[in-house]
Amino acid sequence: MSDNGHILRIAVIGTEAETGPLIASAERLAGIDCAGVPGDCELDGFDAVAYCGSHDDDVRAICDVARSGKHLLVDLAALKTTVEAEAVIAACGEADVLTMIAQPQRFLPSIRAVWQSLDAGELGEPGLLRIHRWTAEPSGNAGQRLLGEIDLANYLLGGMPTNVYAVARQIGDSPRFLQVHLGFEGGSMALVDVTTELPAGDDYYSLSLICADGSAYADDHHNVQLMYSGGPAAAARTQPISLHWTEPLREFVVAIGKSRLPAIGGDDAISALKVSAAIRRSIDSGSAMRRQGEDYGPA
Amino acid sequence: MDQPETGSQPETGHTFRCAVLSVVKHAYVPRGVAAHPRFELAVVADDADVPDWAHERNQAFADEFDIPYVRDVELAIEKHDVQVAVVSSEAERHCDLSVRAANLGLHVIQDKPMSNRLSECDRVVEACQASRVKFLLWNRNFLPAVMHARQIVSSGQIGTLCAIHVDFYFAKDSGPPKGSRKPGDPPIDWLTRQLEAHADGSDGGVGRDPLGELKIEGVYPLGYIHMLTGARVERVFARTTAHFHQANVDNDVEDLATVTLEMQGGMVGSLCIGRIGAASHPDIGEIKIHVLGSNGALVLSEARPEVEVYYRGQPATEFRRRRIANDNDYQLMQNFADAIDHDGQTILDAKAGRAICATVDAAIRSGKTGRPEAVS
Repeated sequence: MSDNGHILRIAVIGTEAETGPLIASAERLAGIDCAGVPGDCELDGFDAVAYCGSHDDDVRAICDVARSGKHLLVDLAALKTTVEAEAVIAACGEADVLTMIAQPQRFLPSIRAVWQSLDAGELGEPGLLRIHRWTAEPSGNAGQRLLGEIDLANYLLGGMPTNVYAVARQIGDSPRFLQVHLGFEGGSMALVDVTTELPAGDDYYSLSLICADGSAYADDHHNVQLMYSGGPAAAARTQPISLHWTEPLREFVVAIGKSRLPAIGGDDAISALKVSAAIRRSIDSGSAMRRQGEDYGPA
Repeated sequence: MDQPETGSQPETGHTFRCAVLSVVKHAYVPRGVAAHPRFELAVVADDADVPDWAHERNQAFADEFDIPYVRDVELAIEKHDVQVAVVSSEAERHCDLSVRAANLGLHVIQDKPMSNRLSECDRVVEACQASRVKFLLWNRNFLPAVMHARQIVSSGQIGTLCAIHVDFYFAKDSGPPKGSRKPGDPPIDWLTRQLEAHADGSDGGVGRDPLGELKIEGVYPLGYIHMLTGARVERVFARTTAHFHQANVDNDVEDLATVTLEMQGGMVGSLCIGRIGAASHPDIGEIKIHVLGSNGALVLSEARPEVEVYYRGQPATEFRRRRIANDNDYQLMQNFADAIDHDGQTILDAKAGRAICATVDAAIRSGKTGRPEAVS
């Protein structure tokens, strides 16, 4: 609820799988009312619009929503380039509405547990972040699944990488397998592989953070239950409802109510998108990229 | 000395007599050899001019097995009717001892790393080919979980392989932590540190030349990748750092590394490796194999099967999780015996070992240049 007691009405756009966690998170917060709506829905009656997950909407449509006076909550995964991010931020500035580019992946229960341990100093200086992210999306684009992982690398290792190298394997026009190798100031490193090529069924996610004084392992492999129905046992993951949109939503609502900039902002999104651009250049050239100021050039 | 004919080997099913050529590490290789009933340790031998500490360790091992210790490698081979050499010296002497044994017609089992120099690996490949002897680089490819991976991959259940990743974190300490050296203190001497580490069996890098984790342990994960894919690594990109241990900082060798592997046939792979400290895991370390195929994928823990044991007063250094049903030593030696009996290939022969050494070499170069490097 904003400071004047007004209930903030938020239209939520995305697939059911993408919007579900945001709507579930909203149910646990006072002062907001979220409703999932189709992308082409009439938005009168809503104060704000949330774009969840990656989608094919033209970013101009998002900017038009801002110009119509709606506050915007945009999942980082909805943006593909720094140009798009800057266009959204500029449109919101011109319309004097608040924009917040969120990184909800940072608030997944497993990632929060890792972050809290790191932030408390229990693990010491981070040395290596290893992520495997495998999804089952027959027409998926691994590049779109990568952006949240790049943001996590920047978040956990403390800034943009100094070195970038990547390889990709295509099916048709879309990269279906991506492997990204990042080096950071002080010698820490990240290695991330993403594929959309799993057979239909469960996804797989694994994140290991190796630090000077300890390590954290958030791995789906550790969290499977066994089911017997003849033949080899099947492994089934226990999946509690994930409320990872709660923190971004709370910050979004408070920032609107207090008419201030959100603490989770566009700078981190721009950083992740810059790294993403360097990844594309590395793949295209077959070369490593090195950070030069705020951008990247050949190593 | 004339080269014996390879036809002079014992017939199938017979016992092989082994010369242990230097046993200065924690002796897992000769013990593993002795675990198979067809291999009998007959003599320990080393060069006369090795340092006293090496003579002492060689003598202690010989005493334990109640076999002689001879301070002359060639004499020991000549006098003790041996067919197999088991080389477990300092890393920089591995290949030279292997070449000398191969040139005298002995089959060779060698500890890892194959060498700290690629040119030395080339000498072993040539010597084994010239003498028509078998070579086995010690490895862990017969661990139950690794064999399970091999069975699934070779059955075709996950289709054609597209990508393979091995995350290999060794949860051991290695002397004082990084940052512990006080101003004015001398840097840690590598060999001195390794000699101290003998007591707890963490002296995998024993020798004069400092070795990073890629050289000390890299053969294990790269051995898995070699066995599961059969594909050659063509190009690598790596990041390397000394993140944990003062000895690694002082000797400019990595204890943490990540390697992107670009492989034959467009396959992609990766290796993450580190000696990450004993506090980081309840057993020897988080070691995982991830394989992506055209029809599916595989995620496998190298440690399994294992049991967990907890009790009041349990020492902090004792593993809570314990591997079980490990038959790796016996299976390696059975594979070696089969290769000799049937003129077959060992699970990790000299050429494969050389290829792994070349991959490590390129990764270390890439870690320094910041660019991808071709594997020679």
